[in-house]
Amino acid sequence: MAKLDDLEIIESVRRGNVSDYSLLIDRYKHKAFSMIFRMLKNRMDAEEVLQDCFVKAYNNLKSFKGDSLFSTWFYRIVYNTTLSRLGMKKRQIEEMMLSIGEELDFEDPDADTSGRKKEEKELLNKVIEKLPPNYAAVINLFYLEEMSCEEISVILNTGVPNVKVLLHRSRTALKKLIKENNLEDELR
Amino acid sequence: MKHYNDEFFNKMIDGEVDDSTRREFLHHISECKVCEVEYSLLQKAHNSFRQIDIEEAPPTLNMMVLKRITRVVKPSAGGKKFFIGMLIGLTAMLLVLFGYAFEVGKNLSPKDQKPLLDFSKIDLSFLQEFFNSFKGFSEVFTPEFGGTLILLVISIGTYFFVERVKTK
Repeated sequence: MAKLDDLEIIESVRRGNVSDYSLLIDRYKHKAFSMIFRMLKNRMDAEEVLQDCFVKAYNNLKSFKGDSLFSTWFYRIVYNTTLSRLGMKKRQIEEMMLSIGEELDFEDPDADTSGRKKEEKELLNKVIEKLPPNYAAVINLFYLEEMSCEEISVILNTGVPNVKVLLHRSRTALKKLIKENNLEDELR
Repeated sequence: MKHYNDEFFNKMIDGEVDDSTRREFLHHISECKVCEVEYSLLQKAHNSFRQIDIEEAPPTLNMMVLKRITRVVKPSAGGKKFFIGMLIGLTAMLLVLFGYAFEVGKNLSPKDQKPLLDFSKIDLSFLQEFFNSFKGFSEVFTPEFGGTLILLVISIGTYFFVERVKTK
């Protein structure tokens, strides 16, 4: 059977085949969960929010006109729902995004490890864990979903330069940790 | 010697640097160890992010979402049924309460039209007695009040009847 694209699945769901919505859930659940989990830093909360996002998307499926990709539309729901759970006001997010000169604060990177060198994954996870929600969202969308900065800016409802700043600062933060932990030779 | 910064390295990684600047930079890092190391570190950070793990969503997610979606659908269908049932019931009540027998074709003036139900001619003494048993309610009771109560019961009954027929 040919693989249905997002719009075909949506049409089928709109015609009343509610169970076809499972196809969309399967397509997005893991990556959306990764983003929510990394933004919230709590698995149980992330599971609840993920459910809410799919229910919200279903309830608003009529308003999806197809002007943008379904993934962009859906991730906007995911991002906004997660921010609501965090209780963050739009103003706070904007302030966080605009404070470009500020450095990311990774306090005591060696605090929970005894060895001199840490595993690459461990370090990567450590950086991601410490990333503020909007940074974590950008990293997930850029590297997991392979979205462009333009698409991400639509999802985050901010400018492309802001997205690039978040992306660059995340990379620079990881670079700093690689350097501090002398992992240059272990990483590709 | 002038060194490049992280901002430039990031632009290099994102392919946002024009060809001549790129060539100039590549020539520079062939001679500058500091920039070569810094650029290489940032590339490693970029490559590490590309290996970011996908977190597995809970296996029960589809079931839970579909359950919630169908739960959302049911009340609205029930609401529609309820609305239709109540509409029929209320229409029946209003027809009897306020309706008049329009004797079509006889061109009667409104004063000559007769109500379907004239409550004053109906024996509602059993209701009167019931209300008399409550102190203060005996004054409230009028034939119209009693009739309205009976019609309300009829409309609710009609609603449940319609619902039952629909279910079957």
